[in-house]
Amino acid sequence: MSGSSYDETIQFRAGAEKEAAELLDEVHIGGVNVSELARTGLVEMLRRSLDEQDEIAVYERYSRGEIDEDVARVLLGEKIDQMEAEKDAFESAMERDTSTFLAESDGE
Amino acid sequence: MASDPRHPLLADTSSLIAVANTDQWDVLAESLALTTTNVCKHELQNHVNSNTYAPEGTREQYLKRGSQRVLDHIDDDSSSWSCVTVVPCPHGPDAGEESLKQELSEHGDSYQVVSLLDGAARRSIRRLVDDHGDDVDVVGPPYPLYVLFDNELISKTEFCEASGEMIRTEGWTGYEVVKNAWTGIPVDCSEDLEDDILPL
Repeated sequence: MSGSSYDETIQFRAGAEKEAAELLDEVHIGGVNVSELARTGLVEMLRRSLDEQDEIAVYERYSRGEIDEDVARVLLGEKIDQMEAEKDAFESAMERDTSTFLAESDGE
Repeated sequence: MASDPRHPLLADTSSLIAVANTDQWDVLAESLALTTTNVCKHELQNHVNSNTYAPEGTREQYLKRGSQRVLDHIDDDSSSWSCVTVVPCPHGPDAGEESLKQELSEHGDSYQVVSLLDGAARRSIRRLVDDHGDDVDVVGPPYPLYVLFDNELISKTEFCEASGEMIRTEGWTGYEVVKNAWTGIPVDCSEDLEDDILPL
């Protein structure tokens, strides 16, 4: 199981991008929080990079307890809550007498 | 077409196409009694008409084949499936979903379970059902297969293969409903499925 902490850093090479961020910080009233922008932007781009097979693979690992919920949530967002709602709905439907749904049960 | 009794299981267009494309279609059609709307039936007819020359293996052919199977069954006089007429008739890309909403708004107490493939449609109809205080569960198309499994009309392997196929054809949309069907039962389908259905 991986742990996640905001003490962890991501480093990447940036030339013009770093200068652009510093410029915006300088000219924008109140400046900009480059770290926050980078975090938000990374999450957005990670989700955009995910295809449906990737989403399934991530949820499979999450459901097996191999990755933390906060990590899965970065990639899947509200899909995690939606899965919970689907699970509850299916379990509720399972508790019904399913023979009610058979053709002969309503005398046809 | 059969007369229009309201069976306690209501299904939309995509949900019907999904089950009609499984290997368990014949058992399902013969064994279950379910209801759909005239609007969903019209959508099925459109899939058949607009995909006349759909090549084998394409999405269009999948939609056409499933739709044709369902239509044939609904129109069969010996069928216990029913088609209820919704008035006024909704139009547009979400007409099928809207017709289920109208039907549930007027006859919510006739139904116990609604089966829809689209996740957003399920959430929307769940809100409607909650607002009306109806005792209706809104689930995905693995549920009709589960009814067969629960009544020992199909085996665990047949249930796993038929529902697993929905992951292959529908991606996350299929996974969302199939995963929760397997978790809910619970049934371990890993030994019955090809390795490529669930990525590691």
